[in-house]
Amino acid sequence: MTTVAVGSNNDTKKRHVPGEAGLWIFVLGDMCVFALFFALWSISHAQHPEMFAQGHASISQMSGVINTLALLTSSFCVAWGMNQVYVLRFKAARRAFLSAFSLGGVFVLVKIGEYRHKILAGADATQNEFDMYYFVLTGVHLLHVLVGMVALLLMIARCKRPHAGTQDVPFLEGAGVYWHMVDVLWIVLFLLIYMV
Amino acid sequence: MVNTEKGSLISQQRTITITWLLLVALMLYALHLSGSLAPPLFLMCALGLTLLKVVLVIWIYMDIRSAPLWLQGLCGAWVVLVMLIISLAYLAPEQLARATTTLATN
Repeated sequence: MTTVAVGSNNDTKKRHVPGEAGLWIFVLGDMCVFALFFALWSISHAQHPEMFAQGHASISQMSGVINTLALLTSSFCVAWGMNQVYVLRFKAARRAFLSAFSLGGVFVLVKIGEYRHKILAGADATQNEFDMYYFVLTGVHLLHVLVGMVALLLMIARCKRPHAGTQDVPFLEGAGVYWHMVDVLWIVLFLLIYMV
Repeated sequence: MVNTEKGSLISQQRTITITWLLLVALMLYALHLSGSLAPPLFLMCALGLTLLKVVLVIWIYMDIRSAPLWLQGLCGAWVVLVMLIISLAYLAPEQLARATTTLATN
């Protein structure tokens, strides 16, 4: 059987922008906004090391680990699904995107549990800079996860259409890039909030 | 672009699977180091391991390796900028705190 590959990565492939070029303005802009957030967190950490040490002690590293595993694995599922799209196996791609969506759901549930625990423990974002930055950074990231999950649902719907084909590749690539961006941002947040 | 390389798909699936295994291993290794290294050394290791993870996701999963040079450059610049800011703040916190306080008062 001959498999038709579209846009797969090999040496003979021409360089191309993954997804639609316009999407990258949004993706890179979003990444720059988060770079600013990371800078604000880092500067605040340098100014109030004791407050941040107490803040670190008040959150569970395990929930960060579970969420990191969930997002890394969901990124793997999206990359796997995209490779299925390139050979026009939309049913297999749909299953991979559905797995990624479920893992996004795990992330959201763990994050809600973490918020609940922190609020019940008396977190006060108006008095404590660690708590303020913690809720702002993780909250904005959580919004990105939710938008990414909507994008994953759209990817699943595209793959389910009877006439799904090569015309859907740019959209699927773009939505995939967005999901991977959410993963990249979380990797840095995991370092700042749960590791150091 | 359309090609008929089935081997290419298998090779791609292998690449993304190895990448995922590496990403998970790097995260677990960082966790292991957090309990066994002195804070300054752990900090440098954690930064290095995070840099590796970010580069792997951007390069392999976001498929920046086959993107035009301008996009590779922009993504590379973002990674360098973020890592520089975090390194500066965590490895020289007193100098940074002093500099930002001076800026705020002027």
